[in-house]
Amino acid sequence: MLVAPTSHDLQVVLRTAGVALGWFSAAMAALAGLALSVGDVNTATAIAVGAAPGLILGVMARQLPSDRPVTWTLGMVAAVATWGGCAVVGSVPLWLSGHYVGYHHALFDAISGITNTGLTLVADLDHLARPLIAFRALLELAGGFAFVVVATALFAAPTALESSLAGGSQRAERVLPRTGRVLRRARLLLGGLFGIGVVVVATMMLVAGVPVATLAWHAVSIAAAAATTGGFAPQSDGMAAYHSAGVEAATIVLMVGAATSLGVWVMASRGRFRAILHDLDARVFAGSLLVTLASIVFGLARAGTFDTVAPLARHGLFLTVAAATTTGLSTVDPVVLVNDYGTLAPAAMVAAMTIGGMFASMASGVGALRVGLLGKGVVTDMRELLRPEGAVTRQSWWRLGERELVTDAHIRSAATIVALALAAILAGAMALLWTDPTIDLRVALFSATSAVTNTGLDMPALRPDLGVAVTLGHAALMLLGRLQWLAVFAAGGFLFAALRGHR
Amino acid sequence: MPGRDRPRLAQRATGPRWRAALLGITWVVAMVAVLGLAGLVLAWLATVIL
Repeated sequence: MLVAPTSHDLQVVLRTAGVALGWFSAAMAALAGLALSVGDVNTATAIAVGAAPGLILGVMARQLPSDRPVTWTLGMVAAVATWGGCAVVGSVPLWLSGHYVGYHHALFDAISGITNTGLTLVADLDHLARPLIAFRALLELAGGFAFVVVATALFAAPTALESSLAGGSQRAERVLPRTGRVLRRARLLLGGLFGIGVVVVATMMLVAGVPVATLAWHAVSIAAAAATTGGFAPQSDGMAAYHSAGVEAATIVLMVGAATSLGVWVMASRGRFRAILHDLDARVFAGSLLVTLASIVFGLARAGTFDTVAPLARHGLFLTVAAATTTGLSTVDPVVLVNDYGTLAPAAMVAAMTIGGMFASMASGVGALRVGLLGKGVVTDMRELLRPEGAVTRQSWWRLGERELVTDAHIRSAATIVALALAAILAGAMALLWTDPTIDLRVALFSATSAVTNTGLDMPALRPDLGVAVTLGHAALMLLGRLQWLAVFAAGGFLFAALRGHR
Repeated sequence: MPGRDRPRLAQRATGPRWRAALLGITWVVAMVAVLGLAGLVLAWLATVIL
C-alpha cells in the first residue's frame, strides 16, 4: 500500500531545503555587497533581487520544528528541492544581466553552475560583468560543497551498493548525525583546495602576464572551476587565453583533487597510501586517466593535430584530466575540437566523461567505483562459466582499507545507474539531432555526454540560439546526472505518494 | 596489508593538522606527476611510432 507523506515529512523537507537555500542566498547577498563595493550597482541589484526571496524562505524555514528525524528518503527529496530552489534563485541575476536570449537560457546556466557542469549559453561572455563571473564561481562552490555532503551522507542509499559504502545504512536511519562529520570534512577539503588554488593560480597568472586589475576575478573563477569540477572559464577562449603551462599545471592538480573522494582524501591525509593503491575506486579512476591519456595522445598524433612531443603531452594531459574529472575546462576551441582533433581523441573523452571521477567526490559521471564493480561482475560470470558445476565463485573488492565481497545486489545497483546514464546520453543526442539537422552524430553524442555527466566540454552544438525544449531538456539531464538519479526517483516517488497515497 | 587498516575511517586522526594536509596534497601532486610523466613518454612514443 502506498502511504502518503505526513505533514511532519513535508516540514522536514521544507526546513532542510529552506535552510540550505537561505545559506546560499546569504552568500549571494554578500556577493551583492562586493559588487556594490566595486561600483557595479546594476549587478549588485540583480544579485540582491535574486537573493531576497531565498533569504525570506530561509528565515521562514528556520521557524519549522527541527526535532524531526531526517530519513534517507526525506533527505533525498530535500536535496532535489535544494538544487531546484538554488537554480531558480541563481537564474535571476543571470537573467537580469541582459546577456541571455531568454529566461530559459539563464535557468540553463544557473543549473549548469549549481550542478558543476560548466556549459554556458551566455551571449558575449568576454564582456560579462566581473561580479557575475564571481557569481558563477559562487554557484560552483555551493554546488560542489553540497554535492560532496549529499553524495557522502545521502547517496549512502538503501540499495545494496550504497548501503555497503556507508557501512550498512538503512532507509529509516537518521542521516543528520553522520552529516555533521561529513560537513566538517567537506568544508575543510573544499576550503583547502579552493584557498590554495586561488593563491597558486593567481601566482601563475601573474607570471603569465595577466593584468593585476583582473587577476583576482580570473584566479577565483578558474580556481573555483577546477576545485569543484565546475568548469566555467571567464573567457570565450577558455584556458587557452592564458597561454601558460603553469596555470594549466595548477589547474590539473586541482581537478584531480576535486575528483578524489572524501574517503580517499582522509586516507591520504593519514598516510595510508598502500590502502589507496588497493582501493577499487582509486584504481579504476587511475586506470581511466591512463587509458584516456594514451588514447588522446595517440589520437591527436594520428590525426596530425600535433607532431612534436611537448604540445602533444601538454594538450593531451589537460584534455584527459578535464574529461576524466568531468571538469570541462578546455585548452581548445570547440570548433577546432570538431575539425582538427580527429575521432579517437574525442571518443576517448566521451568514455572518460561517462566513467567520471571517484564515488562521492565532486566529480560526476557514473563513478569509477560503479564501473569497477561492473567489471568485477563480468569476471565473476566468466569464472562461473569455466568452473565445475556447483562450484561457488566469490570476488572481493577493497573499499577504504576494508575488503568486501561482490554481491549480485552490488552489480545490479551499479548496472542500473550505468544503463540510465547511457540511455540519457542517447536521449540527449537524439534531441539535438531532431532539433538541429546540421550537426553530426559525433557532435551530438559528445555534447549530450558532456551535459549528462556534468562535464561541460563543448562541441558547438549548445549555442545561444538553442530552442526552449532542447535547452530545458539538457538542463533536466544535467540535474538528473548530478543528483545521480536516485534522488530524483525518491523525489518523484514522494510526489506521487503525496498525490495518490493513502492518508 | 590493507585489511589491517580497520575500522575504515572510524579511527581518529593523529598528528598535527598541517601534516595531514601536507600528506593529502603530496598524494595528489604525486599522482599528477606520474600522469605527466606518462603523458611525456606516451607523446614521445606516439611521435616515434606514427
